[in-house]
Amino acid sequence: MIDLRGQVALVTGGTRGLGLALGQALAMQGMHIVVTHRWGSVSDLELNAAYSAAGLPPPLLKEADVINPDDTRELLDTIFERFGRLDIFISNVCIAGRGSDFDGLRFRDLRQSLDYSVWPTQQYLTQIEARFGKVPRVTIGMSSDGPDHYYPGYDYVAASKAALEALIAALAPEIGSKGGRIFGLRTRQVDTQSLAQIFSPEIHALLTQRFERFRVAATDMGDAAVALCGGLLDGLHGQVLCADKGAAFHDNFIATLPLWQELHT
Amino acid sequence: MSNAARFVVLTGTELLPMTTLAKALYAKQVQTIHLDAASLRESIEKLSSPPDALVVGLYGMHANVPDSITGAFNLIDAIRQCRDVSGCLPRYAIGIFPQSQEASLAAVSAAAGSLMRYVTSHMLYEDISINLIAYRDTALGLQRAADTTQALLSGLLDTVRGQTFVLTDD
Repeated sequence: MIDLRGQVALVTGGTRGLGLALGQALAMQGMHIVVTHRWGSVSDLELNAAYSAAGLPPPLLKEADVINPDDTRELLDTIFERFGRLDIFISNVCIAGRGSDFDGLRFRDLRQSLDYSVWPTQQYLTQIEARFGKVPRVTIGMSSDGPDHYYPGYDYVAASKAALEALIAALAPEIGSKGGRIFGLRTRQVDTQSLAQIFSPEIHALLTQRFERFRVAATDMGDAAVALCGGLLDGLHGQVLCADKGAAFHDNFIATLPLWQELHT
Repeated sequence: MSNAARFVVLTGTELLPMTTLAKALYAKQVQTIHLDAASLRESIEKLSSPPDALVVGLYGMHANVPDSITGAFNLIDAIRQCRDVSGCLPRYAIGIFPQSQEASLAAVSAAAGSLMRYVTSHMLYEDISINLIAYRDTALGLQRAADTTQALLSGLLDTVRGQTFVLTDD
C-alpha cells in the first residue's frame, strides 16, 4: 500500500459525521487534512477537540460553500500556499431536501440537490487541476445505495447519488489519462446526524437500533477510504465500492420476513 | 489493519496467475497453494491452524460451456471444504477469474456473480466476506487482481460483502 504520510487530503463537508470520520481515518495514516464547512457549522475549537480526542493533529478548517467558485478558489489558494500539493479529494457534501409524496415533488428541490451534491465534484476537479497543475491522485465521491433502493423521503438524495455515480464513471477516462483515480464509495445506514435529518425518528430507530447489526460505522467508511487511497484498489477506477455488509441485497419484503417475525415474538 | 488475514490458502488450476498472486501477497500470509482444487480438503487438514482466507481461482470458467459453470461453483466447494475440515469458516473468501468477451463465458461470469451474492445472503449472519474479482487477462490486469485481493484481506474492507470487482488494467 502507498505510504500516505505527508500527503494532503481535502474533505468537503468534513466537520461532522461521515466527513469527520473520513478525515480522521486519513489523518491516522499521517496525512495533512483540510476540511470545509459552510455557514459556521462548526468552530475550530470543536473540530480540533474532535481530532485531539482521537490523538490526531488539528486539520486545516476552511469555510467554503461548494457551489461558490470564489470560495473554492480561495480554498485551493490556501491549500497551495500551505502545502503546495493536493493528493486526495473526497467529495462528501450532500445537501438535499426531504422528498414527500408525489404532489410534493418540486423541480427546484431536485435542482438544488444536484447543485450541491453532484456538480461540485467536477467543478472542484477542474479548479484543482488549474491551481495545482494536475488532478488529485485519488478522488472519492461519497454515495449511498439510495439509487437502487426505495427509502421514504430519500427522493432527492437518491437522484443526486445516481447522478454522482454516473458522473464518476463518465469522468474516469479523462481523470485516468491525467494520472488520477476516481471512485464512488457507497454505503447505507451510517448512524450520523444526516441519517437523523433525512429519516423520521421511527425509521431512524429502526435502522440504528432494531437492525443495528447491519449498521455500518463511520469508521468503517474511513477504513474503506484509506484502502481506496492506498493504491491497491486502483483497478476499480471509475467504479463504486459498496461497503454495506451485504445488507442491501438482502433487504426486501420476502427476505426480511423472518427478521420481522423474530422481532415481533 | 488488525483484522488483516494471516493465513491464506490459494487454490486454482492455473499456475501462472496463482503464483503471481502468491508473490504479490505477503509471503508469510500464504500458507499453501494448490493447483488441484480436489486436494484442498487434504491440505487444509494438514494445516496447523484454520486458514482465515481462501483465494480461489475460478479457472474452470476458461473451459468450454457448459463445463465452465463448474468453475463458478469452485468457490462454494472450497468454502464448504474449509468449514467441514477446520470446523470454522474463513473470514475471507475471494474468487478470481479473468474477464472474457466470449458470450457464453460472460454469461457464466454473471451467473457466478449472482450466485455469490446469494451465498452472501445465506451467510449474512456469519463472519465471512465473500467477493469476486474479474480481472483483465494481462500482466497488469493480474497485478491489479493481486492488489485488490490484498486490499480485501487487509481488514480495511470488512464491510464489503458480495461485490464483484470488475477491474481495469490501465
